[in-house]
Amino acid sequence: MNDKPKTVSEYELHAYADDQLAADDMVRVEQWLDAHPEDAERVCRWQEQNIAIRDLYEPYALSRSEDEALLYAGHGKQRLNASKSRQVAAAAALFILGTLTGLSIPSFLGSAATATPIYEQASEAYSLYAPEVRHPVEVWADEKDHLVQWLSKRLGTKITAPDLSADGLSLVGGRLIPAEGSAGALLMYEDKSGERFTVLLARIPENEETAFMFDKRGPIQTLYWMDGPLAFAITGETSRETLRQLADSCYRQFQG
Amino acid sequence: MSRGPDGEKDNTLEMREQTKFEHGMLSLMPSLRRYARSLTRSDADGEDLLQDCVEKALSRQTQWSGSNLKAWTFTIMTNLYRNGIKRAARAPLAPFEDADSIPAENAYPGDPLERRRLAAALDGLAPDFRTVLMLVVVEGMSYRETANLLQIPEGTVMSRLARARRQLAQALQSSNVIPLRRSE
Repeated sequence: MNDKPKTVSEYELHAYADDQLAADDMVRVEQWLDAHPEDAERVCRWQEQNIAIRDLYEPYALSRSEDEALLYAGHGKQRLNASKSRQVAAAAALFILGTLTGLSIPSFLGSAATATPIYEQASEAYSLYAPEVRHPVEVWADEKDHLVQWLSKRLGTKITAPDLSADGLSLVGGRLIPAEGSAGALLMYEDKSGERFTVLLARIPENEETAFMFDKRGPIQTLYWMDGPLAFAITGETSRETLRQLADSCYRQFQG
Repeated sequence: MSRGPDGEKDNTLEMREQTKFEHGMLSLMPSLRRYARSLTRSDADGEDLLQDCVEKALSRQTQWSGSNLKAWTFTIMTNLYRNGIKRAARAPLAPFEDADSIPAENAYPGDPLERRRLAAALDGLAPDFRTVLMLVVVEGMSYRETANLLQIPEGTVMSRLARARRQLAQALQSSNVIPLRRSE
């Protein structure tokens, strides 16, 4: 018992996390983990991740009413009569239609796994529109009321263009872009030196509340979060600290 | 009942076999659907792969040895998927730099954005890595079973698993999460 555990390999740590070890190997690895908290921490993370992965895919493991027909149809025998085969075809067509349009078939991760994540959309929109000299926006800030009304209508929820003047930014204007599978509002701001920032607002199907998260693509930094019916993403070629300040201002203005 | 006794007997036997096979297939459909979805990364492609797999399994029914239908059908699906990606180049896979011992940041496990990040990170894995991860973690297969199914050595299963986890960690931390906020 007092024997120091022999060295444990990287693979054995994985095998332990995956519950693939025989009982005596398990004891040996456990002794090792007791003495090596860093490895214990990693193993613990893998185990948590395993659970998260299983949770993520669990909703896909379901039976569908057409499964039986699918099995019998494959036999090409008389078990499937003509009208049933039409039903199967119709169900398949409906399924594909549903998948394409995002309607009727619930996607179990929301649009999560398949749709472009909002931070990517935000970063792409920024790199496309921020360098524009003549047409960075569709509606300029001098028609702000119209802009906000129009975008609210298209998003199906009331939005405002946050006032970021306290952060040294003025509104340039905005445009409608596709986001989160429907309409998104891209608002553009700039500081005195002409440095631009975008705020992307997108309607999400269900109310959510998330933490703030950073994403960096090349020089472009995005800070994004979800709050209530909207997803937010603030993008700029700037420091995290600046984005954090801007996010704070936006977040506060969308409260209440 | 005009059939001869021999014909009737054969027929019943065939029926019984088919029932066992079909029953097995039917109960495997949820796992097969999930595996197909994880391989193809899309609902529509997943359903297509599932249908192809079922079709192939049915046409090869006579080759099934009568044991471990799950491994048999999963092998068929894996091979169909592999052949499929050889034929058509799929959505570009984002290669992640391989790096050692990067801790996975998972500050908010229940957070919907965290789920998305994990889903995106899994989708970004190379197909060989994702396959191993799915078989072991989601389908609960042993390393040995996974090795047999994929026809690779057990050591390769382990190294792919380790690399898959390193890449996931890398992907999850390349965009960081900060614990900022909420009524503080």
